[in-house]
Amino acid sequence: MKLIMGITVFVGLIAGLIYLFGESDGKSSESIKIGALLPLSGIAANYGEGSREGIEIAKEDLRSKYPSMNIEVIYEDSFYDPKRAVDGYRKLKDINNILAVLTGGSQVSSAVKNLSDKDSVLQMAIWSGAPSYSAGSHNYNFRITALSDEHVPILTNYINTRNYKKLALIYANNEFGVAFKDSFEKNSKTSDFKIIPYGIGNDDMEFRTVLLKIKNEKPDSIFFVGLVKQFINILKQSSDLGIKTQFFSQWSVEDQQLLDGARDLAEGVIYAYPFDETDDASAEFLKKYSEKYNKVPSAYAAEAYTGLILLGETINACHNKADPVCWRDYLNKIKDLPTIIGSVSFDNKGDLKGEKIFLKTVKDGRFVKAEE
Amino acid sequence: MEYLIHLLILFAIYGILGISLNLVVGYTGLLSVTHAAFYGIGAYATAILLTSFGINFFVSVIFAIIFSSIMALLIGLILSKFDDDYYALASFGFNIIIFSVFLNWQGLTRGPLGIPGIPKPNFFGLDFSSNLSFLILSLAFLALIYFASRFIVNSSFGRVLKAIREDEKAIQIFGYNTLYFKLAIFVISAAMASVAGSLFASYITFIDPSSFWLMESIFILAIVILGGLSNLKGSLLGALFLILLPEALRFVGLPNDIAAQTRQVIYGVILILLMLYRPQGLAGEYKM
Repeated sequence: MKLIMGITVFVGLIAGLIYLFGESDGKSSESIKIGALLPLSGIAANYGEGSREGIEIAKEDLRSKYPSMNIEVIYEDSFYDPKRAVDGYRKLKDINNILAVLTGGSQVSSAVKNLSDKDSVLQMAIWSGAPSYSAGSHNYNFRITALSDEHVPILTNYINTRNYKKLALIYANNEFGVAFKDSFEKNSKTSDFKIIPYGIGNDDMEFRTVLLKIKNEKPDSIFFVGLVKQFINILKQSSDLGIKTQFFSQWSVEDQQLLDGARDLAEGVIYAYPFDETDDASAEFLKKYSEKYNKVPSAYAAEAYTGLILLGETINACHNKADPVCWRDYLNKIKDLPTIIGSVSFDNKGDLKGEKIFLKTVKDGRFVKAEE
Repeated sequence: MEYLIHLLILFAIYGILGISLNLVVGYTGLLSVTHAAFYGIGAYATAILLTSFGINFFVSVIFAIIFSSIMALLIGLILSKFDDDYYALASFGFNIIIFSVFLNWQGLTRGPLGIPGIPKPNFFGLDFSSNLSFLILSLAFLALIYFASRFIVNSSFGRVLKAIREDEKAIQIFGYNTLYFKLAIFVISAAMASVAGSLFASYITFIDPSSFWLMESIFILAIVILGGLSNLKGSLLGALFLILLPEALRFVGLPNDIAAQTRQVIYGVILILLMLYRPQGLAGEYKM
């Protein structure tokens, strides 16, 4: 009897919390609420935290540029899991009454897409590179991540012009890694080099077996796509095994962890990157970020910053009205809007057009542009 | 209200999973860590049949039950060679194998890219696309599975399962073919788990292999242990508790830069305290 009473009290408490917060949230504030569904814990937490940092800088910039704009960003942990992401989205929509949401990661963005469309909540997907996100109808869903199909050509062009003939491709077996592998295989058909793919698990940290197989193949270059923690171990273990070759990668490796963890071993790594911190708009963001967080911003932070800035510009263009229809129409029409990731337009699927991709490298312990 | 409905739908899905696993773990004493695999088979069967073949949801549930049952029969036959801890380890291995199939058979499952755009159920014009109607459907399935399970455990078949749990050798002496009973309940449990998978796929509208990894099997086992072994109502309580607790923690106001991590710690501490002061679970008959 006591147990049943206890459980009834617990369930009633939860339901009451939900009702109370739901009611009070709907009535008390006139701010425009924007959700940020990011992995704030778990394996992708450093990407989620980086994104949150970028969003905080964007909030400050919007506040100073548009003092009359009243937006509130509410964070929820997606745990980088589709089911938990739906939990978080439902709480943001039904309790916090968000009108727009930033979602980080392809599986999270894909899980939320149909729901946000149905609820007329504008979704801005960040670092969500899976091609399937923009399959199907486009209504309230936008994405500001350049797809692997845009990153890979610049890499294959470099590989061809430098006469690399055999590329070992180590890819994490997730939507991000597989998308890059597929792009490379597509691009290699018209290239002069051969690709040998090796899949790794999302949680793998021991790569000696794969690296020994690679060593036997004698490639003159290795491309990696996966977590930066994995890349650090690959560099270390390659060095232990005497593998001396040119390493290539993609934008997620530009992370302070790489410099701290791999140190000299990271020198000379070449990777495709979508964010140029040397141009004027980016320099301002870089300065603010470095002052506030004492580190270099990652592309995750840059995309998250851009996502919120775009939403802010859209809200301003719609005269600060809480009107996702107006916001959607505005975003569909924008052409070459300058941002820190380049001039932004959206295609008819809500995908980004115009993001600049270029090559960077690690030189003297810093991330710098690679020579063409 | 939509948020509450969403949580109740998840409760229904995990209630089905808890009840079905309790039949194997609680009533029969077989420590199986392979339940997420059958859950995933149900989800993928429904997702593929709905998106690639346009088959009706309810027909896809039947196919999901069939696929899951066949796999459970094959896996169960192999698992029957093991006892106790070895059984658990072997079932662990099967979960990994099935997960690897989901992840790597890209031609069928699209691998890590997942299957998006899974439609909601429709039955002769009766549309379940609203959350409320989906909740009613989920609760209907939960009720069906609960009463079916109650029938099983209260029958002579159920008494044999409990006897196997207490002392398998003794019941064998009385002439009972324990392999048949263990296999049968394993298959029934897998079939029920696949129904939960079908509901999950249709509700979330996107699935990928990460939802059916080993940790999901452990989560379902936690529902059974927390709710109470060998008690069907306990599985419902366990599901309710483990679904609601992390959501309740979302309302705990903490600074943004530490909120997510702190909530994980609080969640862990609450579970530890519960097991310390209530080791038999919320409504259990015995401790593991």
